Amino acid sequence: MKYLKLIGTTALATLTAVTPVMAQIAEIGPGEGQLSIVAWAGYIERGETDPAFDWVTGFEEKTGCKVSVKTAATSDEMVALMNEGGFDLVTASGDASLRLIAGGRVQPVNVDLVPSWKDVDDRLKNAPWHTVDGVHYGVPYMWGPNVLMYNTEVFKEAPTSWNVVFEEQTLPDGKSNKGRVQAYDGPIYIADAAQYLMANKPELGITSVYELNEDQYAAALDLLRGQRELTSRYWHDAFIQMDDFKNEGIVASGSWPFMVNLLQADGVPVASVIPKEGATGWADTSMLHVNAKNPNCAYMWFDHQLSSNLQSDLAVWFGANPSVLAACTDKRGMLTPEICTKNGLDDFERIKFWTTPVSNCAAGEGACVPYYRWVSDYIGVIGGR
Amino acid sequence: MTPSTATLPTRGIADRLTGLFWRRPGIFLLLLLLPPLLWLGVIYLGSLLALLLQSFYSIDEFSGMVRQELTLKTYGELLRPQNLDILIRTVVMAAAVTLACAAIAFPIAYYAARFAKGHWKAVFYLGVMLPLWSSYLVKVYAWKLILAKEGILSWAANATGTSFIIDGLLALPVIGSSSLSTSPLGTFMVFVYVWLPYMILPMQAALERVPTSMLEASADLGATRGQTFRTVILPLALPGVIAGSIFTFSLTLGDYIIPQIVGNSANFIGMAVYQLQGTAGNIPLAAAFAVVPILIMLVYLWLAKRAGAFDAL
Amino acid sequence: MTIAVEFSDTSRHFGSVKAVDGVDLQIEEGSFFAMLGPSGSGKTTCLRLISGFEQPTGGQIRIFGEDVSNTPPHLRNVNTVFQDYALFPHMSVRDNVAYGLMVKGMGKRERLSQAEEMLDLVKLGQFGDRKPSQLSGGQRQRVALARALVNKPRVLLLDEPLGALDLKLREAMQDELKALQHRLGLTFVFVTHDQHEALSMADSLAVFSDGKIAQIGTPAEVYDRPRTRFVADFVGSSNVLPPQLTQKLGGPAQWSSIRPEQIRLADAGPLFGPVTALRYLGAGTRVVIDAEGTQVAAFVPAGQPVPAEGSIAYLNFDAAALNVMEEK
Repeated sequence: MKYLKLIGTTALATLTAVTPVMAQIAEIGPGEGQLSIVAWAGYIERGETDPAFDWVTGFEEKTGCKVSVKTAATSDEMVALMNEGGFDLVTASGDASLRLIAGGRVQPVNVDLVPSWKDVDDRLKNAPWHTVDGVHYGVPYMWGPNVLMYNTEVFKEAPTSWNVVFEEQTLPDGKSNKGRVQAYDGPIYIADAAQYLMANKPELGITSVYELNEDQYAAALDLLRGQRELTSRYWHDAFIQMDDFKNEGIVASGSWPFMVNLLQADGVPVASVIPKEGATGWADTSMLHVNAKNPNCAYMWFDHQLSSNLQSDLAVWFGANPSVLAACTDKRGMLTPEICTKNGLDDFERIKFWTTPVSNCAAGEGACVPYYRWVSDYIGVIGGR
Repeated sequence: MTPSTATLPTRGIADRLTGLFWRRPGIFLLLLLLPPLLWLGVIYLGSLLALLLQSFYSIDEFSGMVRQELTLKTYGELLRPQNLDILIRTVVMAAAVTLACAAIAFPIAYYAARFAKGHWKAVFYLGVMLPLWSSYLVKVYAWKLILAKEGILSWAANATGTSFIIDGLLALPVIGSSSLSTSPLGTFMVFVYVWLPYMILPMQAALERVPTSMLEASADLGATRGQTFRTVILPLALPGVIAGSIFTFSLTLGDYIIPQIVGNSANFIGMAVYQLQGTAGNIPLAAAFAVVPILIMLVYLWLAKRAGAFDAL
Repeated sequence: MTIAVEFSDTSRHFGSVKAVDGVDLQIEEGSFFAMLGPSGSGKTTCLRLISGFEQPTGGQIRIFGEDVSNTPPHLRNVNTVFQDYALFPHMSVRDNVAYGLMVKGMGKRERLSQAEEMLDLVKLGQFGDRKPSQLSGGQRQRVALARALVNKPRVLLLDEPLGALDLKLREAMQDELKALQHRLGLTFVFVTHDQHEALSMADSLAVFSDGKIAQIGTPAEVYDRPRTRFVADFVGSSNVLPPQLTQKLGGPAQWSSIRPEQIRLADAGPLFGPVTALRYLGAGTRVVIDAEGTQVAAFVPAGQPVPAEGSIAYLNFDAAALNVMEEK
């Protein structure tokens, strides 16, 4: 998602224990005439921002379900809105989806009632951020990688490693990278450091970048402290980062395809790459509120989401990847195989999708450093501590 | 014309109400003050108390849920080194911004209060107020561009051969960075720019209230300009300076936009509050952070009062 | 005789406004000198020229013989009691009085003891700890006086010092000021628009009009022998007679003046006309007659018969009492 929204001190250790098993719908009735969705800004476009990007009007005409959107800026806001109730769907990121499932705010989805489910990218069908104990709690929406954006005038060839942002070095233009790279201003970025260490310090034995033991965590923080020396500013606002690439002499940073596309359209010499260590990323899922008033319209939306131009045009709009592979090739919208490649479609396996770090991880109860410590420690790192 | 009675007939409810208010001015005053008092009492103080209460709750580190039991644990968290850094960084910045604003504002306010007449006074007010009319965000983004590495300021410095000044400043430890726009120095400059009017206006009002004869009396009694400044002007203008410094100090303490856009991403109190209540969902710690500026301002006012800042009021 | 303050052809123009225009003036040491005139006549500007808050645009000012053209206020051994007293509100009364000594670098103990002494002199010995805002108008006036006097100035300037006081207090302060000046033997220069105040306190006075001195002299000279219509009008309540009336009374064809108390009612006389107004003043009655279009007032002491309003009255006086002025 555009903004990584992670709840501060969430620990979902007891996830499986409290997962309620709820009845799911057995058949779709007639539409209720309306559908309300909690979504990220830019996710539900009806041609009002840019006439070329509209994936709502067709749905409304076809189903008679009038779509209303409540945009949310953070995952916490999404969770809060869903807790309040009154909405049918939410486009939740990996860090919110499991909380919603654990909190019993969303209901299982009967994928048999979604004809286009068969088209969902196999890599996403059973993704752990919406599938718990084999039960599906949502329909994949969009996903994207956190790529390494770089200035093509400085890097005549694409950098192969994240080390350009993590370790002080002389860049191909003969100048140091000090003060010329950026990092993400969010605690989840610790996972990016862990990913770099996973490849370059195998002796730490990191197996999952969201499940770090004390030693691995300490090493990641050390790496980030070194990065603080290289970074004059951390980014969390897409437009500020773009401005920094234009005016601040920034030549390399973790980023999203969204910014890469916009900068390229602006004539700025940038490109992006997923370096050899791989990348972190985000994957969003539409989920149905447990007390949704309009479940029939919601199920129609699930299918619309997968079958219409949505997958194709939203991917272009957002620099993201569709959850239906066919969308890249079948010209249902503006998406082309080239754009899919550029947005990182082929790099799925190399992407570690954002999940909330919890203390009870695969390595055992309390074996991992939980997210609330990521929050406070990353504040410390950026503060120079 | 022959008046038949000593009083004129009342013309309805309005006259009778007027009569009531005339006999009991208190009722009128109460009616007048009730809405603002309710607003202040319920909305304003109420939310402040809610904030205070939140800060005594704590967050369950396991579930991330707010535990509604009174505890000092959250304030303990506030004293962790990285949080203490934020507090110190913010207070030092606020103090530096306040001092700089006072130093820059004084000559301007003094000129406006003592010498500017007619046209020039209008020009002064316009000059001071004009920046306040444009959007705060626009100004801050504009400053980001002015201070950027490839921005207006470094272009001008290059053109005039004065880059060494900027480079020298940026080479300084702690306040320097790779460019003004990413340095604490840049954050400082933008803060000073944005809050300066809030210092000039009260200062000018205070200076205007110092009668000229007071300054003449001082000179008449043998004081040099410097002595007059120290012993008469400054103490008499102090309430204005304090008022201005309350603005600049507290505005800097609470701001979270400027350090986000211009600076090196190191957190300030406002940013921490914003992140903690939003992204991290840690309302108690956010509330505890938010209580700090209130406490600082209370201490500040108390010290100012003790130092006699309000004696000339 | 030493001259304390001397103006030689001194002017102070503000653009086209001639606040002070070619004034020549000598103030003797040890005298109580009053500058009298309506507002805007230039008297206050003259005072400010002495204190140094204004600089002359022409001519010279000497203080005890020294040309002070290049001396800023704080280097002049002259102190001022301001019209609004200009006491420092943030200082105690004692610190206010000690201020001049402090800025000259006197030690704390010494200056505070001198300040106490001075407060005793103006009878405010027990008020040293108060703030000026806790004092009455008369008390503040005395503090201002003490604050100026503690510096032992060679000339003390007083700008309408009694203007803000009520009548009774003002009269008491007039006596006190006079006594103080007498005791200290200092030169006092005193600005006022109140002719009674000027006449009763000053050793000599200058009457200002339009930036110039209209007349200078002792109170008696100015009161008895005004040189111009303006002075006659402004100082006291003299009758001003036009040239043709003066001539009729045996003088030259010039303006003249005569004071009401020098005129008596008679059975016949050179001045006569219908009584137009009667005003009972306690010690006597003021009778106004219309003599050929000029209103002439006479003072009839109590006990003497008073003519009825509308009746014809005759006025008579000693020829010597008629003051012939310079104006034709």
